This record gives sequence, C-alpha cells and structure tokens, in this order.
Amino acid sequence: MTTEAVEHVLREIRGFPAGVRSWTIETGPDASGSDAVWVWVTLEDEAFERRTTAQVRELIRQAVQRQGGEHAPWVYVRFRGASEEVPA
Amino acid sequence: MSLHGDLLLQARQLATREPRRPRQASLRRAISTAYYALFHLLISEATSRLVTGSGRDRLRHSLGRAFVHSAMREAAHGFARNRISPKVGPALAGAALQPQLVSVAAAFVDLQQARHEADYDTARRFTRRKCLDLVAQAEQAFADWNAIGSSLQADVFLVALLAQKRMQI
Repeated sequence: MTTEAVEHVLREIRGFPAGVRSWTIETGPDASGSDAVWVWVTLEDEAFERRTTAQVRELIRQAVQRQGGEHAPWVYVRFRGASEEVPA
Repeated sequence: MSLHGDLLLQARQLATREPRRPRQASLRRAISTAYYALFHLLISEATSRLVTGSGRDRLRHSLGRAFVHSAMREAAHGFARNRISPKVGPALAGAALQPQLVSVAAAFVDLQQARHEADYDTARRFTRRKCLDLVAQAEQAFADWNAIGSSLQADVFLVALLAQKRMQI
C-alpha cells in the first residue's frame, strides 16, 4: 500500500476520539522484512491517555486491514503529543 | 516476583527515571525491557505448561531457549490479524479468537518492532510519551493475558509461538 492510499484510508475514518490533531505516514520494510506502515499520530497533550491511544490504534489498524485485505501491511501506530511536534 | 513481572516494572521505572529531560538511553532501554517482559511472560507460560512437575526447572529453562524471536513474531502476526495458520487453526474448533488474545498478539508484534528501533536505529529520537505508550501496551498485554491465559486459545497460541514454523499440515 502506498502512502497516498493509507492517507486516503485514514481520511475516511469516522469516530476518531477528540484530540487527534494530525498524522504522518511512512512506509517500508519492518525488522522482519515485511512491508509495513508507520502512522505517527499527533495528539493534543491533554488527550494523551491509554484509552485514547488504544482506540486510535485499533481504528487505524482495522481500516487499513479492511482496505488492503489479505495483503494489507501491518500498521505500527505511534503517538506524540502536540508539544513534542518538531516544527517543519 | 517473576522475571517478566520485574521487567515490566523496570520498563516503567526506566521510562520515568529522569523527571525532567529523559535520556534517550533510558527511553530506549524502557522500550526494549517492555518487549522482553512480554517475551518472557509468554515463554514462562508455555514452558510451565509443557513441562509440569517439580524438579524440572532446568528442563523448563532449556525449553525456553528453543523460542525464536522471528518465529514467534510470525505466529503472533497471524493471530493479531485474525488469520491463523492452518497448522494450528483446526485446534480452535472454529471459535472466534478472543479479543484479548488478538490484543496480546498485536502487542507482541508492535513491541518487537519497537525494540528493534530502540536497540538499533540510532537516528530515531524517542519521546517519553511514545515510550510510555509502548510500556502501557505491554502492561495491557499482561492484563489481557491474565484474563484469557487459561483458555484453549491461549494454549494454541503458545504452541504456535514455539512450533508453528516447524509444524506440518
């Protein structure tokens, strides 16, 4: 799956909890050599709690798997707080 | 306290070791330790079921050395995606996977990759939040395992972690 395809899938997700500010996507092989996707989700600092990260991780993973089917890559969903964002 | 329990505690301690400016070394070790906590939990569970009885600790430890990270990852990946290998699938007798088991399997895949990045990718910068999220994932995997660890599905998962790669259909 391309970065653009994953971006499209993420934009279609409804039901993200409050506090999801933005995301960036990387693709490439993981340590096992399999195709993988990394989604770096930036959360508002006050939204940073275990329940929220678990919910976002699950929503993203299920959406990519639905779209990609049998050949969908594994998605590593990682989080950072808005105050940790590196300015462009 | 067990080794895996100690490692889980230590992961959180490392992640919060420096109150203000966390050292990259502390965060990297915390992530690696969180992975090894789950790795050793699963090995301990498997070996204690496969080798029962007293006076067999050394045999259990020897069996534990037969687990291979990459093979465990491959088996866990199938459970995490709800696509079980036909080598072990029939043992589930058609039952849907317990969500807690899927969660444990997914945490294993996530944490193993995170450990690779923490141990080898020196270009990456880790934040405390990211690190604490991964530690929390390991903690949740322990809780999920406690909830379903005595089930048939848990046994199937443990057998898959050890032997799926070498099984014949």
